[in-house]
Amino acid sequence: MSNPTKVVIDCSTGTRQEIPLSAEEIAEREARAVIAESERVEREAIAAQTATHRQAGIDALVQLGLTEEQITALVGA
Amino acid sequence: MELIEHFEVDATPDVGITFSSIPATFTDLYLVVSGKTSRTNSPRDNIKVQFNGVTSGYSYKLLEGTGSAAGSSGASSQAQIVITNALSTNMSGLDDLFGSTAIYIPNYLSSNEKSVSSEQTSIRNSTDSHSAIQASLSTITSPITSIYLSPENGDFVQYSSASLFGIKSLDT
Repeated sequence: MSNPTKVVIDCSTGTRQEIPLSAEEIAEREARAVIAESERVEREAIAAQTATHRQAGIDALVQLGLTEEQITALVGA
Repeated sequence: MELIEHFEVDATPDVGITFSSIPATFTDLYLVVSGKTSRTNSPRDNIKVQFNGVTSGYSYKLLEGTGSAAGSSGASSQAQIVITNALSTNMSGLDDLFGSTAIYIPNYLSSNEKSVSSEQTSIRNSTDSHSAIQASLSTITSPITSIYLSPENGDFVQYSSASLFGIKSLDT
């Protein structure tokens, strides 16, 4: 596969430039990708933890004797 | 609605697509992206959006359905808008699938902050179907003259496309 390029489309003239990335841009991009992946993993972990806490709360409400309708009214569907 | 520019990625993957020198002759902008990225470790990817080369002052809120669950998320003080789960990927098994995203930018010439709404679907199949609506904000107060789009985790691959439309109000 060819090295990726960045594309600039000039809407006033219709001209298009496909510009190969420099070695520096490629290195910077790879570093950003590592950070992005780390942030994605962190976001998904937080979302999973929130879902776990939510379910634990629902389970606790069931243990307290609330009906499914009452729990739905409190926490949503 | 009038097509301003359309771009389709060829065999060489693209890191990003910039629409520059956007004409100031419309009221709103509408951007349609059919996209797939080189990412292989997930069936979904996101589109990062920046206006006028500005790398601060973006925020967004997202409401999402996965096919089996619903959720919401958001972020503030970001370097770009992240249009979440807007693209399909090169993950195995997704050969012919492209994400579908529409981004609406009203009053792009105004001197106020810019609101952006979008609706996006990463892919559609029996095991994974993420769809979302998203409200985003940019604190830019100058007219939008350029839009930069780039996948968050991969490159745009062949046959991905982006079309920029201009919308005029009846009194302009």
